[in-house]
Amino acid sequence: MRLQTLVACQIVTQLLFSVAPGVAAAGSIDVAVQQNDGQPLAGAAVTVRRSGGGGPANGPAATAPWVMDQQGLAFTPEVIVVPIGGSVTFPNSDRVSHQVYSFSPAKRFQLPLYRGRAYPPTRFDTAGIITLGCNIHDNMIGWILVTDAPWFGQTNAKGQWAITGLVAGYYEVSVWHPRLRDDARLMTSHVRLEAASAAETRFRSAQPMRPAPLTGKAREWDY
Amino acid sequence: MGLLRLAALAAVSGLFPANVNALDWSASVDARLVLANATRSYLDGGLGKFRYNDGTTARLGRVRLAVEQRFGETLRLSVDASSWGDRDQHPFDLTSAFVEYRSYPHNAWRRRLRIGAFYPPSSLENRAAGWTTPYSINPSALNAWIGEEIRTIGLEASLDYLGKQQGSSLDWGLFAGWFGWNDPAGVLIATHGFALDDRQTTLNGRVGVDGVVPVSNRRLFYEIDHRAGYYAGASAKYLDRLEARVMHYDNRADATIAKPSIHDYAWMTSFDTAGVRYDMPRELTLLAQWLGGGTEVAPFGALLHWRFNTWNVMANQRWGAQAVSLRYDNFAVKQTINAFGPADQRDRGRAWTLAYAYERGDSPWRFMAEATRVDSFATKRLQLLNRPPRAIESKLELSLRYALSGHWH
Repeated sequence: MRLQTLVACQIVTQLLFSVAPGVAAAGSIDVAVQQNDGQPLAGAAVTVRRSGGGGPANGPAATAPWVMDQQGLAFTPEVIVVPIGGSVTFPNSDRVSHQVYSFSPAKRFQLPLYRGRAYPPTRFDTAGIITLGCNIHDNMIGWILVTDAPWFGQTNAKGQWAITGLVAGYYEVSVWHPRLRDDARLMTSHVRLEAASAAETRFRSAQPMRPAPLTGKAREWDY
Repeated sequence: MGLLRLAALAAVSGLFPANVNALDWSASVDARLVLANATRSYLDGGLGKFRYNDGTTARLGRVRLAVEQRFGETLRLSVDASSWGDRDQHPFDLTSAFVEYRSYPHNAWRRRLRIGAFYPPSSLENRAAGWTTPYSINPSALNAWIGEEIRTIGLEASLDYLGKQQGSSLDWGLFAGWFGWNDPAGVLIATHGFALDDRQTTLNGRVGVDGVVPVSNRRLFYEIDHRAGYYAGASAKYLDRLEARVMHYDNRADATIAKPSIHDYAWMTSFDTAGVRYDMPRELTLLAQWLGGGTEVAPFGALLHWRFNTWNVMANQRWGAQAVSLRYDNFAVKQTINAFGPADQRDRGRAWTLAYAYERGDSPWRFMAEATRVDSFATKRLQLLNRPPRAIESKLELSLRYALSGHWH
């Protein structure tokens, strides 16, 4: 019942916002993520939950077609975030065949050897981190964060991401990236959002990042 | 014998359902221009350390044709054949042919099995197609020797732990091989020591010219004592950049058994090898490799034994399509037991190699230039050829390679 009310509030807020922009009591949260050397961290997954629950069931972009391509013997992008129930296609844009697999508990699957667009989208129904590999090219590694959070996204090249249209309240903002070494790889902060205000939350990793994948020729050998 | 092995492979591959995948093929032609200041090559009646003789020559470096066919999801047949453009009895022959089973990872574990003829997975240098080094025209003395005398004709089992997929930074693996048909391995290192060349002995191929000493028409892949050999090793890899491998090889040959049809004995050869390669950001690669072991033969029970040892270090820097490598090789073979007289054979040396490569990703052409200087001392130059034992040889070698690949459905 309470959840329904909250959802209703959210919808009302969004309606007000859309009908009379600037008048609505919608708030926003700006998120900035930095590596421990102060450089922005791009591609970090950001999830936002309302403390005590609530929010749109599947987030604003629940129907987006998620794509994780394979180019130059690498998953591209290397990290994506999808909601529970989201589907992802894995096209192979390389000239060589790939054999995609995951043995992560949240989703075990494999796509038999293929080139191009051989398979329909794969659906992810359990929240968690899914690590992807290619059974032919062991250096290939990619990640899908399947989240139950109502709001989610990834930081841009400046390490920034923002969510608007939030009602006043308490929010929990979490950041995840596979190369963050911070404990549980999970950085979380609690944000109090006043009506019609903008809150800011900044994350800075306490530890150096794990090394990024190599690019260039070395990646193509060994096969 | 070779035909028999090939037929066995064909039979194995025929057991599996008609292919659901394309047949991948690749072909290449590698032409060379060689300017050498060298003694006569060990491949041509001398004890020079290069593949080619003194002077300026245009030569065919290699013609290679390889096919790969997948059968279902976990099986693949790989066949690699080459010609080296010399007077080999079989001008075009296989360097490797095998079937590989590779399971899907279960949790982080993956099993692999290879059956056929192939290289043991010891090299961190020869990582490109056709068991070649991508860093220079000619590999280190260590891998030149492996390419000349060592091959697995048998089976190999591997177990990989894919730690990266589990959130760890480390992948590691264990492997073991069981093989026959490698009993003559050791005869060439005892005869001519280490060398610096890229010629790989084919499965039915010969090394050296018939009737000419010191290396005369040697066959390497032959079963003599009907006793299997083995190798075992381990690998570890930190992310996609730092990799180390160790391996122990022992062909377990009975050194007293002769095979008159190939004018050879079974050579009991064993060695250990280790290597570490660091692929760094900004396309810098560092490589260090070591190999040490011994070989012996006992004609009529009279023992002859040699120890051998080699190591090398290399740095490679790539800038887009261009790359430069610098390598130092050190190698030594020493006779330690000679039942027929003094154990006085020595063959040692050191070499510097500077290589340049130009290879664009979108072009079938690759150009390489390589300058090598080797300073070696081999007592057999005096004992067999009445030449000074020390030789300083240098060479500038240019390679132009044209490679194509594709697949048939």
